[in-house]
Amino acid sequence: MRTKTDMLDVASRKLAPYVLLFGCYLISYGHLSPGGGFQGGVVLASGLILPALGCRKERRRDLLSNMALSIGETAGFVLLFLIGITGIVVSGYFLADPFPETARPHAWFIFFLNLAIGLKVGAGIGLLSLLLIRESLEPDNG
Amino acid sequence: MTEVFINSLLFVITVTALLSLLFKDLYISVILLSIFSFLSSLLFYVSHAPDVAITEAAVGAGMTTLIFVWAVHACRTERSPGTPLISFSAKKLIDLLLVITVGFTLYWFLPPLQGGSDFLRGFILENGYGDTGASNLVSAVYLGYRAFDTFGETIVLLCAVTGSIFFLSRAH
Repeated sequence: MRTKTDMLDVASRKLAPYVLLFGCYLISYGHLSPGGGFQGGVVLASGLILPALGCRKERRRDLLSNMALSIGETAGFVLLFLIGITGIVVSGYFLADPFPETARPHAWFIFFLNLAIGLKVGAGIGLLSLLLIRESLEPDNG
Repeated sequence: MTEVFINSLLFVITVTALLSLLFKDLYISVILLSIFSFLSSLLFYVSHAPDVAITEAAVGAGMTTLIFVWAVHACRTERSPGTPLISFSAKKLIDLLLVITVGFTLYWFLPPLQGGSDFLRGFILENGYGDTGASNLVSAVYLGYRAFDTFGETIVLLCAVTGSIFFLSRAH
């Protein structure tokens, strides 16, 4: 009963890179246009989950055992913390803008915060959903 | 034109919400909720709130649907062939009446939320770009003026993900 057609397989695998690209766009242009770290991160996560949901059984195992996401989530949080500490060192208080006044129009501070949050949210939610999918697909393989 | 579009959108959203309550099969309800979220995101976009629209489409229509489908799948009870597709009991009728009463009370007696704090809005419009350099003022607020709140939010997310991973990997 639970069969996956080639159409679903191909569509999910071909569509996922574009979803990931859109997520990267949302994160990196978050300071200029609608979007930002949280939204872009969730879109990144859905780009990660799409192939895991759509692809055929023999391809799924590689997608689901993904330890890199766990590292990515921690790295995002550490990056965010380091940006905050840099604020203490340079400007005097936690999460202050460490860049000089002349660099403000380029919004580097917002850009790096968006990057860290996007990495953290994307990896975290992607990891959570992949674990949920693995849980429900292979209940007796553990 | 926009007025008519928004009103018809609101009507369809209400209909999908009601239908998702009435259906007996939870999978149908979850998909209806997904449609509800998608139409809400369209509504936000028409109301000039593209940031919220993206969030609603990605989280409401995407992630929440996945998690709901997983939850329904995890505690699935087979529907016996005799039961009707749509059920409507007295309990549901009372709930419906309660919700309609609350909705109409809010609609008639609450002042419209236009305006807000004029001082705060003016301040952000005037100084947001100069203080942070972000022309997207939503970003300027949540990463510039309120960066500490965002930091706390990511800690909450970290705790949620860590806890879920702990319980999910223990089941294996």
